[in-house]
Amino acid sequence: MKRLTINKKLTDGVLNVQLIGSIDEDADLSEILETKASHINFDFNQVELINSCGIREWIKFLDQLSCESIQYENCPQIIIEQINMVHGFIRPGSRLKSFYAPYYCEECDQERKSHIMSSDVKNKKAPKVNCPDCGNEMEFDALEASYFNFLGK
Amino acid sequence: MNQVSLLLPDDYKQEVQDFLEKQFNISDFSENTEFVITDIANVVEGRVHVTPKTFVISDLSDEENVKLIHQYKIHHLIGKNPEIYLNEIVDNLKKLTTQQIWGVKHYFGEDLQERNISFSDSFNIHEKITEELSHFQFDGYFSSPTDYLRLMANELLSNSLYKGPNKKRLEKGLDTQDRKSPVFLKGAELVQATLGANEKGVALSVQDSFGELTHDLLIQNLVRSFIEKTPLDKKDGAGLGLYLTYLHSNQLIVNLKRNYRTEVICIIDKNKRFLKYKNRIRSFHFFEEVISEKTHD
Repeated sequence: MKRLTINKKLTDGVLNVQLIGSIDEDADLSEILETKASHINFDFNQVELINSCGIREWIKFLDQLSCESIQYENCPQIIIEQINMVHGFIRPGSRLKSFYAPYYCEECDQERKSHIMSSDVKNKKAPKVNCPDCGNEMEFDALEASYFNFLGK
Repeated sequence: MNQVSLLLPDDYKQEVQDFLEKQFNISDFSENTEFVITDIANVVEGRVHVTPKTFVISDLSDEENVKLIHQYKIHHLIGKNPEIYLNEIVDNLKKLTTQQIWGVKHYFGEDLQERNISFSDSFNIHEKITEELSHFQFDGYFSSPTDYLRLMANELLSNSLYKGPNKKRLEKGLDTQDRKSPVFLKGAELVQATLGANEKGVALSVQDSFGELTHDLLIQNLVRSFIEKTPLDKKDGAGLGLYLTYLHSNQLIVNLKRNYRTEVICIIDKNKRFLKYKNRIRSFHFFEEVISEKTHD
C-alpha cells in the first residue's frame, strides 16, 4: 500500500517537493528522478515516519539524483533523529534549511516542538526560544551535541 | 527466597542491597551464587565471569555497552543513570528466578491498560498500530511517544512477518521475499502485537511463533549497525530495524524459545522530559526458555 504522497511544483528552476505520509519500503520516489531541475527543495513537514527500509530507499534515490543542489526543510524531530543515527540520509553538499526541535517550558510544564532555522544554530548551541503560551524562555530538551550532529554532516 | 550476590561499588551497593533484600536473600559476591549483580568494571577487569544469570550495571554509552554485551555474552545489562532503576532490576530478576518470562505484565503488573492485535499478513501494519495507539492517553509524557512506538512497531512487526517465513523459504531452496511483496502467514503462525501502559510507562510487545532471534544474531546485528550506521542492501530488510528499536527504547527485552517463539518488548518510561528519555543509558535483557527449564506465561 502506498503511504507516501509526493506533490511537486517547479518555480524559477527549483523543484519544490512536498512529501506527505510515510517513507517506507513501498515509497516510490522515481517520479522525482525525471526532473530536469538543477535544484530540489524537499519539504518534510508532513512526513510522519521513515523506517529502516525507507532510509535505504531514500539513500538509493539520492544516489540516482543528478541535480546540482538539494535542500531539506521543515524536518520533524523523528526525521532528525534518524538522520543522526544512520549515515547517508543527507548527501554531502546538500543543505538542511530548517527543522523541528524539542524545547521544554518549566512554567507550563510542557514540551514543545519549535521550528528552528539551521542558520540560527551556532557552534551546535540551541537558539533561544520563548514559550508561545507564557512567553518565558524555554530550555532546549535534548543533548545539543547529539541533536545537532547532522549539521556537521 | 533466591540467593543473589552483589559485587558493586560502595557508592551505590547499599542502595541496591536495601531495595532488593525485601524480596531476595542478598549476600556478598561469591562465584558459587547463581544470580549475581555486578558492574561493568568487574566484568571487564575479569573479577566476574558472566553467565546468563549475571546482571551487569553500566554507565558506558549505548554503543560501548552493545560491544561489551557481544564480547562477554551479557544477557542482562542495566543502564546506570543518575537514578538506578531498582524496579527494573527487581522485575527482571523475578522473571529470571521464577522462569516466568512471557508478556508485559511482569513489568507493569495486572492493572495495565492493554490492547492486542494479531497479524496474519503484512497489510496495513501502520494503520492498525496507529488505530490502537489512539486508544492511549500520553499526558504524562514528552510530546511524541507515539511517533517512536509506531516506528518500533513497524520495524518489529515487519521483522516478525518476513524473517520466519523467509527462513523457511530458504530451507526449501526458494528465494526470499522482499518487503515490498505481501506476506501471508500459515495457520497458527500469527504475529501478535501488544501495547500496554500504566503509571510506570508504556510497553510494546511483538511476539511471533518462529523463535529465530538468538542472542548472537541480535547482538551481531546491533554491533554492525552501531559501527557502520548504514542500511544493508538485501531483500530481507535493511538490517537497521533492531538498532533503531534499541535506540528508541528505554529497555529492550527479548524472550526466546528457539524455533518456537520470540517476543521483543520495548519499554518507554513515563517521563515528561524528552532529554531524560533520550539521555537514559538503555537497558537490555535477554531471556531464553530452554527445554529443561520450562517457563510459564
